[in-house]
Amino acid sequence: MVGDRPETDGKFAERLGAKYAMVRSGVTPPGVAVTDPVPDFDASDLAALAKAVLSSKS
Amino acid sequence: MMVSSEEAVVAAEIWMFDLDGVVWLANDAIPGSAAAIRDLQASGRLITFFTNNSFSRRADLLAKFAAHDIGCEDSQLFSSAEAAALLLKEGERAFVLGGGGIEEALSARGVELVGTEALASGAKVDAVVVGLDLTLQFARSSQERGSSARTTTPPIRPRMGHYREAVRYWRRSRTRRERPQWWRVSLTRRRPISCVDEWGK
Repeated sequence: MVGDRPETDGKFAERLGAKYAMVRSGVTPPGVAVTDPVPDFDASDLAALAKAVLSSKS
Repeated sequence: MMVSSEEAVVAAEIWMFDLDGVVWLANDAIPGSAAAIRDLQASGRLITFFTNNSFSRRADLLAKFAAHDIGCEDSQLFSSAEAAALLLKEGERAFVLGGGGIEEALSARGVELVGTEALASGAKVDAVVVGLDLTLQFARSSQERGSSARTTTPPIRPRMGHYREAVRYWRRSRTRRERPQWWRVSLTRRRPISCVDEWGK
C-alpha cells in the first residue's frame, strides 16, 4: 500500500497485513518522524519509490 | 543491505496506491508519478488504486486518471463508497448523506436509495450512509457557532459523530421550516455506515 497519510493509508495496510510504503509528497513532509505505523519503505515521492524498487536486485 | 521490510515492498506483486498526495495533489500532477506507475506496471506488478473519496463518481475519477495520462481500468479502482456498499445487501434500503459516488456504489450493489421526500413521509431505511456532505457541514458549523446563520465553512472530514451532531442540531431548531427534510431519519435498524472522506487537505 502506497500512501502519504499514516493514520489512514498506513493503518489500512496494517489492517490488511500489507506492507506500507510511505511517500512524502502529500500531507507528511520530508523529515517528519512517522511511528504509527512505522513505514516499511520511506520515499520522497512515487518516482523515487519506483526507481528504488525497480533498481533493486532482490 | 536493505532491511527485510523494504525487501518485502520490493518483492510485492500487488500494489495499492492512494490517490491524493501520492498520484496527484488536488488537481495537479505530482512530477514523475505517471511514469512511475507505468514502469511498475510494465515490470509485471498488478496496479490498483484505492481512495477514501466517496464523493466523486467513478466516471469523474477515471477521467482524472486519463487527464493525467495514467492508465486505470474500471476494475483497478476502489473507493470507500464501494467499501461501504459491501456492508449492505441487495434489496436493502439506504438514505445517503453524501455525494454521487455513494449513490452510484449503492445502486450498483442493488441497494434501494430512499430520498428526503420519502423520509419526510415516514419511509424506513436499513442504513444511513454518510460521506462528505455540504448539508452536514452547514449544520455542524451552525451548531458550533450557536446560530443558524447561512455561511460557508471549510470542508470537514465527515464521521458518524457529525451526523449525530447534525440531527441533534436540527431537532433543536425552533421552527419546522428551518429543518432540512432529512432530519427526521427513521431507522428500522440503527445501522449507520460512514465513508470517511479525506478532504480539504
